[in-house]
Amino acid sequence: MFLQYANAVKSMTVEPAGAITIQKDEFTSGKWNAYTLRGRIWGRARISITYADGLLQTIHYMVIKPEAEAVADMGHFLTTNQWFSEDNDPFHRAPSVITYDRELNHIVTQDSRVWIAGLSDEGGAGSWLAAFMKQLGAPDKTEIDKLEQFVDGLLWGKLQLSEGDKQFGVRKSLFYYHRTRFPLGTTAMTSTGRRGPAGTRKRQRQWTAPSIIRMLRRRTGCYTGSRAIITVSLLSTTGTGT
Amino acid sequence: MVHTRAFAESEWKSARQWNPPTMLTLTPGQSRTYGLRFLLAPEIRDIEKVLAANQRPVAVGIPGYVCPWT
Repeated sequence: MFLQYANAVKSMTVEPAGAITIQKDEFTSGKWNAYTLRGRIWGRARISITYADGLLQTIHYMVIKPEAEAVADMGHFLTTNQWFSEDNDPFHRAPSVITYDRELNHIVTQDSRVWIAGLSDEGGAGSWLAAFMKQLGAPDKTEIDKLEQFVDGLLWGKLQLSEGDKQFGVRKSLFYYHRTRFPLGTTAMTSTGRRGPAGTRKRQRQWTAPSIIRMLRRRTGCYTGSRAIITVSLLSTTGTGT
Repeated sequence: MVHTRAFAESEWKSARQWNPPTMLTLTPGQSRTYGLRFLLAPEIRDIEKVLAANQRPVAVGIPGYVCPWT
């Protein structure tokens, strides 16, 4: 933290007490005073500075966990709280890391924007993609084991077609609306029969090639096996819009 | 907003206030005037320079205002 004012600092207080420790550094220039801050208590913290002329200045900080711990927590959350393991899911979306609603504190298995609950496109792929990205910097065997289940059981063959004339094509969503294919009430928004959710069957047939898959083709020419897919998905950290 | 205690006691009750709220009671017929002074900076990068040149206190957090436990 750097401060510049015509008057000297008379006192500094931190609220909550002890949330941040402040250490005065060596004088760096004729204008600026430098301080090194260390976070100690998670959450919002306020530094109140009183200058020699009585002027009060407040500076607000957010103290977070150490980065490594925050990333580890994210990986754990994605592969436990967001882990979808419903074997009887009519849309065959398990096992996977699926979208989560933090206000309801529950996974999202239905949404009128079908891809959100459909594991694909941008909004729906974000969670499992984040789980893969996390392994790049902080791999965890338990988490990777689960992601391999997802790759072998779902990504290859369901999200991306493994055979036929559409081989390598990517489904926009695994969740979709169909008036007769599923029993009434399978999807929450079909009761009137007039307006299905966005992403009806017609839309689901559109094929997209997200950056991961393009990268996969270009760089490796290899599609089988979870390791190749994980490696290449990590290469595309830039350029994904999730 | 110069004083916020009324908000802090009702609409903002469940929030942690950024700054300690203050209040002022006006007796009948009494008035109080507050002034705000605006300073113009040629561009965003010059804001701190202009504040310092006008005897305002400047604080800069680097790399930012999010501070991990260390």
